[in-house]
Amino acid sequence: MTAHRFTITETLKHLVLILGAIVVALPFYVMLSSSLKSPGEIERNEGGFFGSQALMVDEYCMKRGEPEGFANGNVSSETALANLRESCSKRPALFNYATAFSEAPLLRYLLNGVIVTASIFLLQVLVAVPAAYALSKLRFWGRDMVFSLVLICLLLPVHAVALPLYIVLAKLGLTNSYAALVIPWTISVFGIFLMRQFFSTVPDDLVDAARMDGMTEWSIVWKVMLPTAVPALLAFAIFSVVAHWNDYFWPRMVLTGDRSLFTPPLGLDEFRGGGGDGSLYGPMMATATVIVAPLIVAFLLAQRRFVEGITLSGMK
Amino acid sequence: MATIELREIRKAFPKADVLKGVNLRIGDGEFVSLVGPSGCGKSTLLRIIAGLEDQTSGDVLIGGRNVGGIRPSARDLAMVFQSYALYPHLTVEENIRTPLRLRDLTTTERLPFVGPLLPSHRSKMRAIDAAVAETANTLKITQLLNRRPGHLSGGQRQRVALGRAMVRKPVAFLMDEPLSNLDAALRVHMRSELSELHRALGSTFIYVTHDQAEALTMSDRIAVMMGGEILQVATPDQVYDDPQDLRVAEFIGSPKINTLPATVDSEGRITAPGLSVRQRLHATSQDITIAVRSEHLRFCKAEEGGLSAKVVHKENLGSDVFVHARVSDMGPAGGNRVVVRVTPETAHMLHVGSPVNIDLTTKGVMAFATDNSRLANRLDSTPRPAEAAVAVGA
Amino acid sequence: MTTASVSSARAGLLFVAPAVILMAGVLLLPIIAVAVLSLTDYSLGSPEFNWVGFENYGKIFSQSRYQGMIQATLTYVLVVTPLSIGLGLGAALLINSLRWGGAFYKTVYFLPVMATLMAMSIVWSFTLHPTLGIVNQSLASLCNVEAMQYWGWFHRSCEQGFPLWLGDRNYAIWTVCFVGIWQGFGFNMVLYLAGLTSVPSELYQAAEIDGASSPWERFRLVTWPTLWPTTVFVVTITAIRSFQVFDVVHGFYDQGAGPSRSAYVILVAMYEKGVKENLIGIGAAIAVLYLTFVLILAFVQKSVAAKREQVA
Repeated sequence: MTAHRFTITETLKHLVLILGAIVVALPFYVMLSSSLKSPGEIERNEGGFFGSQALMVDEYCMKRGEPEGFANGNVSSETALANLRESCSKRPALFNYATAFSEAPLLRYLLNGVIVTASIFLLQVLVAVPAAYALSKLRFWGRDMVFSLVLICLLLPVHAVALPLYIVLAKLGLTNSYAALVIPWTISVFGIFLMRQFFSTVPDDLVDAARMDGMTEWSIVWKVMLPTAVPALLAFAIFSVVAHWNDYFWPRMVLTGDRSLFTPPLGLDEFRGGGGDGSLYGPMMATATVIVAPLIVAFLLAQRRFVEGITLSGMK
Repeated sequence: MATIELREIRKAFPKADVLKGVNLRIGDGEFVSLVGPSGCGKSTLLRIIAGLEDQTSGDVLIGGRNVGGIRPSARDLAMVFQSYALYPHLTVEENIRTPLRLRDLTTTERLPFVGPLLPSHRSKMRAIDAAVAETANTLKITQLLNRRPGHLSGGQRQRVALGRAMVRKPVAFLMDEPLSNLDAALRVHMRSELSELHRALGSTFIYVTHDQAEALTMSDRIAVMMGGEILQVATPDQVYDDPQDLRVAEFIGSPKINTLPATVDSEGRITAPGLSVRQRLHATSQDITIAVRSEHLRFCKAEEGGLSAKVVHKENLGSDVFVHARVSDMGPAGGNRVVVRVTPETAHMLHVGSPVNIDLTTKGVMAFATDNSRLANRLDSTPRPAEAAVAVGA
Repeated sequence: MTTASVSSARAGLLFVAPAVILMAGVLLLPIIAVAVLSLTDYSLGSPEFNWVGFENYGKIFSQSRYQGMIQATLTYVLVVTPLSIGLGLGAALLINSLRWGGAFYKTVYFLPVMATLMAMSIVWSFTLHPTLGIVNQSLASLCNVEAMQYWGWFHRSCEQGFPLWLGDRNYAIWTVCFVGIWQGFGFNMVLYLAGLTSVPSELYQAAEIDGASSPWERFRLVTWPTLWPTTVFVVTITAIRSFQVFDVVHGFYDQGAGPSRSAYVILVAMYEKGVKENLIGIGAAIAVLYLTFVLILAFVQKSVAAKREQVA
């Protein structure tokens, strides 16, 4: 009797959770599925998840008359047209992804994303780790004051200072540059706080032993403290990379024209407005997939670490 | 090998003076323990010798050289820490090698990729590897060399920490409570190993501990510290048998030394409740405290007099029994607790609640003035050896 | 004074110097700057500016445009905060009580937290597309189902067409809220799951022995008190994050703010005024308003947390 009732509640719970999972996963499904289908299939909402993958003609390819040297435009004969049509026929999935990479410099965007997130993280570590070491292990005048400053800055939302930073960068002529994307983020107050908390748990003896062995304070930071803090550093890396890979607000502020600097979240702008007829939705969803995929895949491979890293802010 | 001399070392923190003028001369190859309760400044003193902390004033001389302003690593000392302080991300071998690498290789030679290409690198590394292997061999940790500290037991880590200290062949070893993280059995074992190591190396050892038993078992000399001062520096025997300060007498020895209030008259004769004290002091006419170790007390028959007391607890150690008794006299000693060390046979006849009479054996008592200082005996007043055999239970 | 303390002090100052300089340069001075700018009519490129006192603030509190902004922002915060916390807590409790399969739901619910919100907003706008979107197509296909016709709204929609989720001013802000909840509740779920693991199972057994027989009673007696500190934190951080809503609105409405500015949330307003229209003074005043909201929340959290520590 109890066992029976238990199964019913268990089933009900699963039912509710599955319903939730469907809603949560819906846009991912739509994104992936549409990135594989032909415009017609998208428009009529048919073809299941993968679509039929029937050959379709790439209209842009036809217009451009590429490839096969038809670029000069005197395509007159029926056979040549047929040849062109044939060479411009593609599987929808291939068409969508190929268009995604050719219509906009998507590869460039991805590269920018990597450059920006990596630079931000490295600079954050370079600034935060020595500071965290000093705040936890060194005695110097003003230490408590600096730590109070860290705690105060922890409360300040970065969005509130976006305008003055934007003005200064504009005055310096730095908008539309990597510097503008990176400089405001070189200081991670949270990183200092997190690493300090971690370093505080490292016994002072270890630092003294390193001094007895002849290490300088600088090498103690990088050769003794940092290796002991690998778990915290990893969590912080995930926290930082996820935040800045996905950030849209700041790049939107400081990148006004130069597309070659666009980070992935800005890259989708290319496809907006146009394609009301559904013809561009495939490539658009392919672009979205390419932008979202790196973090999602990394997350699926190392879930525990990611959850730890993202919920780190729970330590404040 | 070197002597170490401390001259008027003071250390003041904003809230308190941790060291109040410490003087100490440690001979070449000597094993000296700094012992005292926690907060007495012994660790600070050690860290000042190491150069990890600065004294407010005073000088540290190592081998006759004033090391003020010299970096810790340049003082040619090695230190073993309570938490072992091994680098968790390096193997045992790398841990032991680190101080040599940093000392013997130049900055360029230590560079990754480039360093190993330098001609000098190879010969130096060979010497370093040989030194590491030799140390590992001495400490019998060769089979652990490729492991990381996280995978070692406490005792093994202890050995690695020793190895890291030994490998640089320092003039002196500084040890900060190195055994206190080990379990009891291993701790006792390591005491004898450390003593052997000291004999084998012949270097100067300065050993900080709060455990008086460790200090007594290993040291050539013990410096008993309290409240930022050294109260007495002497051999273990002297510190135990002839403490110059009541606080030293109370800190050294287990069980704690028995103390009773007493007075001394104008002739230097001691009047202690119940006890037949024969010795006479140079000091006259004052209140004093007499202290007597548990093995220098005995139970006696009621008609012999002695301190009448009641047994409150028996602490059986197997070979000996500590009998705790509460003094039942109504005098100034009333209510004091006295511990008498007896054989198990004697203890067998006693029960909790039994009334007993306690007197001195032939050894006599130590007398201390109210300022804790030791009061000297008159030379003619030592007790007669004839009474040595009288130690009969009540 | 000799080496140890001097080198420690020198290294200490040297190590914190870059951090302190950056904190001052990137956070503290700009905070002062934004407060000062909010009292001017400064704009980029113009040679001079005037002090206008509190005129910018006056505009914010009197013009309907900014009243709409405050209304949209507060609507978003007040809808998204409780719902994403409630759903997060519910999901955590359900998942925690499952005998198997919990890890799967946890993974799925956490996916939106990781995904680039800008990209996902665009995907949502496609999913909710009035004609091509899978949502309205699926709803329309349900029109044949007899039972659904008893639902008045559904019945009407079948005849007049399903709503333009993004384009209809009556729906727009709610759709934005929905995506906000969709994106955020998995984060709260994970925080609650972490909180739940700290509940010792002996406590449940003790509660049962003490007579708390129903799950609800056990929740009241054991679970909720343990989760309270988590909740204080979750409420603040969710509210603060809700004030930051920007990507979804931009993802939905290109550069605008939705039909009739119904999704004109505070950061969108700040961006529009400060950057696009180069009215820095007004933008700064909006930023100060935003900062005020966030700081109030942070201080409320600190004081609630501190009060709790005193009691404990």
